[in-house]
Amino acid sequence: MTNCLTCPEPENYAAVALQLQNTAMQAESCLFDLQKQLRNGTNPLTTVITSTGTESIAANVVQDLGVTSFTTNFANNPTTQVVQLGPNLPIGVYQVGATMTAIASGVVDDNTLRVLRIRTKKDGTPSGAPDDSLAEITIYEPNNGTGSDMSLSTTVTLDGNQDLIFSFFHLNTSSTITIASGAIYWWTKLSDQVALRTV
Amino acid sequence: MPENTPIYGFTYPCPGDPVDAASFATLANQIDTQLFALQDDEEWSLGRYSVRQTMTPNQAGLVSGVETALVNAGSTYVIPADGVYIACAATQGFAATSIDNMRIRLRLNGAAIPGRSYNNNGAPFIDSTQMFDVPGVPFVAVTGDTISAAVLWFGVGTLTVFLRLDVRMIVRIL
Repeated sequence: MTNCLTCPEPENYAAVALQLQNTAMQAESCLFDLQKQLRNGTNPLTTVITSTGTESIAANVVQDLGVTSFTTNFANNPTTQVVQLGPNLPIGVYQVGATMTAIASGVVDDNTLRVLRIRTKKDGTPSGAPDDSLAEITIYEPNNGTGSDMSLSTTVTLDGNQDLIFSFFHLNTSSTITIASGAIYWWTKLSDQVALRTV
Repeated sequence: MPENTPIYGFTYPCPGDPVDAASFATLANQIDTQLFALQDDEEWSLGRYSVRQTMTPNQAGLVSGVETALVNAGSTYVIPADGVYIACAATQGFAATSIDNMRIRLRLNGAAIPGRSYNNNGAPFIDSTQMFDVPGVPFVAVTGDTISAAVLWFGVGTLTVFLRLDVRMIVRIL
């Protein structure tokens, strides 16, 4: 017998047909397990969604983006919502990103800032509670009629008790800012949450 | 009548079927074929498509206020296999009299998605160089799709742009 396959012995040569069936089944089982493991490696938990609605954001307030109207471009897992995202993702290390266009709904205050943040904090705590991690990008309004394109990507570690939040802040006090439909939110799992071995 | 296993369809005889050398050969060859497929999966798991390419030469003559697709060699990437890809772009605009602001967007088959704008507080400023990047944008793509980039800028003169494009597959879609 090999690690995977039993072989015909002299006492059961008469059952060669059955042996071939067993061999086929055992080979399939071994190969399928291996293939499943290898394909899991090329298919990490990943979601890409595109918003189909807009979000309006007032000035001087950090607003958590809560897009609920979206198209799922790709998802190999059940988690396809931005709201309460963190607690619904398995524990692990993730690469997370967002890309969007922010447009003043009315009067544009030239050169005022727009800030996109990706942050994690304890789930259930107020929006303003301290962040466990924070990444942000700041764009100063170019006022050329096209709004501000903003893209941000970062790596976060989620322990199952944290929320993962996309937030927006701006100082365009003359009008609200609209996050145009077509904003893309995405996350992909990089690894399990493991303790690195030190030598 | 021979039967087949449910996943890979390996063929085996049933009791009462004649068992001859061909029975063994058929099963052995089917397993062998699947082992080759497994080798393919192993290679995918060890390394997926990942490229960094720089547009050469830099593209000159971009007109202010007109979104311009970058077309010089190295500015586009043709997707080699179905998957989810992350693309990053770094660009630099220079050689204009002055630049007020710039924007770069990545495109999938010519359709742009939001990228990144760049503008310094206090613009227009007397500056002829802006350098910035798009840190990562996902594309769900199939073989033969093309990722490219386009630049929009506002300022005085004509602009020359540098582009570096990074694309890597994160999910293989089977």
